[in-house]
Amino acid sequence: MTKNNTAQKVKKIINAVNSFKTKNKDIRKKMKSILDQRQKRLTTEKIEKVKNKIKEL
Amino acid sequence: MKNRETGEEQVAQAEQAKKPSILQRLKGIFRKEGGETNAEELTGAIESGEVTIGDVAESAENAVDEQATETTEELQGQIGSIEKETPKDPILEKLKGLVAEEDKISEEAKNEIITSTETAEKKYASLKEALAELIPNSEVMDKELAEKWRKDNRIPLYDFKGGEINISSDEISLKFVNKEGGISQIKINPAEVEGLRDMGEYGIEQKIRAFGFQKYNGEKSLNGALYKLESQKEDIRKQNRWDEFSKESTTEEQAEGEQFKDLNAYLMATEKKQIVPPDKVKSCAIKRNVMPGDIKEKTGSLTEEAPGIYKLQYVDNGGGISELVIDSSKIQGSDNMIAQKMAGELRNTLGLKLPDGTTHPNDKNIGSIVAEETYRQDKKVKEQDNEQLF
Repeated sequence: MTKNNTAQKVKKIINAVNSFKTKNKDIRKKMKSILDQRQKRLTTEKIEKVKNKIKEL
Repeated sequence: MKNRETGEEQVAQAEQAKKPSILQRLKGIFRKEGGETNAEELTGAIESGEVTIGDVAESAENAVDEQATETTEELQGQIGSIEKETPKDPILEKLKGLVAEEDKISEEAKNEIITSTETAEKKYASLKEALAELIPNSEVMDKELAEKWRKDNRIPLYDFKGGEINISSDEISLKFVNKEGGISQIKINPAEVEGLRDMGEYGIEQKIRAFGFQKYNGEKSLNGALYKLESQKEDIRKQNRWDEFSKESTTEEQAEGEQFKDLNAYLMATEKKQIVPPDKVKSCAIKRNVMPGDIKEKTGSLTEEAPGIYKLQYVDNGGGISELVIDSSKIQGSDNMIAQKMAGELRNTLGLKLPDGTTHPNDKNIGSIVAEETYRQDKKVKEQDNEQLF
């Protein structure tokens, strides 16, 4: 293995890991956003329920 | 290695002692942010022989695996708690989609890492061809010997190139299913092959995989992978066999069958099963040239051990040999029904044929044996009744 060859392989490996890390971060962001949306939705639903109960009273 | 002097040995030992800490550092490099700044350091470590490209690739793969597992577990945890709270929540599908996406990106990254360590070996069509050129003392097993080895090791003749690697300090031995479907064996002296000596098992395996060997389901050992694949294929065959049986049987039989989908469970429930001890199973399987995977479904023999006592030996769903002793004198009334249903199950699920598809010379239709025996018993009872009457 020549030095250039080795350096190239190492670079490729590091690039593969870094690219994975970026995509992994994206997935985690998506997960967070989905969960936040759900939380908002549940809160709105709860508020609506309380509002309706107040109206009934 | 014979070419090493005492001084060189000390250096080698010191290098070996240093290795764990370097590997530990490698782990850190891939885990932390900004790992790209370490490219030069890693290249230097490989050049100086501190680590191999295989070590670097392995650490990179491990780092990917660890992070992917973390994310997947977190996603699974969220899915689990949402399923409990709001089972029909539409976001569940989205989260499940993210799990699949995580799986995909980690596989892609690992493949990328693997291909990064491959070199010019790709130009060779087969491992045999490549190693023959790379390694002057490679040898191919005698065909008959290879076939015997394949059978002894129960390696199925599948269309993928699998094999076994044994690595010791002075010899690397490869046995593999070659392109022609036979087994080839190649012995390599690591000292004679530049670079190979320091590659380690992982590095060598990477090299071999570049020639077409494959890993399945994260199995570390290729031999283990072979067995895993075989077992998966058997599960599919078992399911197909069941589907076929279900198509041909009546609703009532199907309901009965669903209850005892596994023949073993059925026989256990009817308390008619005796399991042969494991050592006997092995010797029996060898004696009958039983290979797991290709004979399970249609093999068995039926012999009359004593008047009215029948012994059925067959390859059960677990891949072992089971014996079923049928005492025909006990088969009457409802018992007879059970036996007939059991016979139907045996015929349909296992059949009683030899591996080559022919019928065993002693093979009789178990159902007709039962019917004949019942007829004989009924006749005997009637004759006795008549004698008493007259």
